[in-house]
Amino acid sequence: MNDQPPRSGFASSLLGKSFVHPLFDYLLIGGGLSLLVAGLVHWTVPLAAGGGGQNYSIHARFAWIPMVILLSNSTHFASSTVRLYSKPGTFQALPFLTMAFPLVCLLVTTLCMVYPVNLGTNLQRLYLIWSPYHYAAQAYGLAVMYSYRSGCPLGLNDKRLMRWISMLPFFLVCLGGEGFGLYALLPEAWLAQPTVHGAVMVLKQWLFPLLIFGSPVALFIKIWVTEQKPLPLISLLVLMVNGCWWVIFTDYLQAFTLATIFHGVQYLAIVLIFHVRDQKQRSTNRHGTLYHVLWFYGASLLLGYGLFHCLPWAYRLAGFGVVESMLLVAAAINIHHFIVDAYIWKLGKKDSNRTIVDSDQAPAFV
Amino acid sequence: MESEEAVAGPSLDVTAAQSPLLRVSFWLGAIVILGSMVLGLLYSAGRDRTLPSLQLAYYPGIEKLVEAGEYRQALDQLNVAIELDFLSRVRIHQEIAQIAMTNGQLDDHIAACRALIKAGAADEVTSLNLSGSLLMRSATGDHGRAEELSRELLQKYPNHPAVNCNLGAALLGQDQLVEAEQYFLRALELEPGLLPAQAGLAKVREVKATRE
Repeated sequence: MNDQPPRSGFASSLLGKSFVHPLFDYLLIGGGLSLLVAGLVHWTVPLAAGGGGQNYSIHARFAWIPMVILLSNSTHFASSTVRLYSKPGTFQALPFLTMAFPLVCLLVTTLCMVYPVNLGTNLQRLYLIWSPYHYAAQAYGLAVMYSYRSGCPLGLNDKRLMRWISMLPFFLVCLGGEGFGLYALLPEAWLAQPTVHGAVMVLKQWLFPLLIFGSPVALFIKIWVTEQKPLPLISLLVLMVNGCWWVIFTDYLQAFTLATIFHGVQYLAIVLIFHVRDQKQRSTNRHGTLYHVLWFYGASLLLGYGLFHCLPWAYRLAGFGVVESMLLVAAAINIHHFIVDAYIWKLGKKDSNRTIVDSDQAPAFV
Repeated sequence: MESEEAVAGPSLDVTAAQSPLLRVSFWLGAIVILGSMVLGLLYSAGRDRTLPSLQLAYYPGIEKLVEAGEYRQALDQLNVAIELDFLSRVRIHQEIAQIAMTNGQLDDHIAACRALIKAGAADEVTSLNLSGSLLMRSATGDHGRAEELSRELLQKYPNHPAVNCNLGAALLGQDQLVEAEQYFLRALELEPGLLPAQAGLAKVREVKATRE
């Protein structure tokens, strides 16, 4: 897991500075792989349904999805917890988050379980609307990090602009579907009015897709012109890939499923890099990269299986229904992950994250 | 990976935390959560003789309730799912309609079919089944809706015996005996042995005879 040596020239500036290898970084962290799969799913599923594109089930077509969800999705949710407890200094820096927050989450989940319709619904709504925000925030963080590593640190205004651009997919999802977003907040009858419905459709089908794909390119050009150096393409890719799921798949269930899987792949790749570097920087370290990768991934996989697949059974044992046990435990784990993530990735000047991001020389720009 | 403010600390030692309350909550949380996961694993293994399924879905649990004949519990659970699983509402209503119709839960079947019609996700079979349930429930006012649904269906399927029969029954329920008789006869012409049509026709003639 060594950084690629700096290359000179314009091409290397465009390519940016990889953590592992350009192919690895672009496919897994940049989200290139998810673009390939998005194309595959988008074009093959309707064909499989006889070309009509109607009444097809992604779960019927992709029977392997539960295994992929375990290996990517569940594991990634658990990995933030593993990272929280294995990252140096977190018990001291984040005492409430590390020590009290799990119990608080458990109590809130149980309370929602007791009142599934009144409280549980709100937990579920929160999870559904926070997910695209979380993915957008991760896209922003990765885009800024690669930009910084690649010798193109962004000014405050460009950062703000990038933040807004990264949030566009989140705003698109906020327009909502049945039961969440605008549709959870505003009266159904008002939203069903032809003019309102028409306006929402124009936003969903035209304006947001245009902004989601057009504004990262505009920002790229702006930075190139004003700063005399380009953003690495991986920063551009990360922003656009995060948008593509919500634009390509108008069925929110498909969009959520696939976006979450590839968000998980992206997350696992980057968290493994940070974990391995943290561990290898320890003076007491005696193990190689493979050991740390296997240890971290194995622990996350085991915890992911325990949280998503075993914990709901404990609630069933306690007398709760299968529906609330499955759905509300998943929602609570998601929200716990979102909150933990907001803290463990901070790049404080003395934080080990900063050391890792700073550890490599930026490529020379010609 | 969301912001850039400073957090830092040198120690990884849980015992270094100063507050005893935090230490207690940490150990309590860890024991309860890990213990629950182990309990859940054992419970699943003992009940289904297998490890918890990789499928992150509640449908297998609903199917087991149906297989065990616990239809009411299955329907109650699906009604909770409608409130929680926003993205799958159409599929849940379809599931409710199917389970309720198969097991004679008329009110649930009618509510699910109506929800599907409202969501624009109902096909002809849904309408046909709904009109059937409305007729079977025979509450005041339902016959009118059953007639409406049956007439819509009849435009598409004029030679469908069940549609003709349902319309006959809906009209019979509203005391429109002459027209009801025509549709029962038409249904029997299309399917001579259709028992509900035979029963409907007999009822029409019985009422007519009483009045004469």
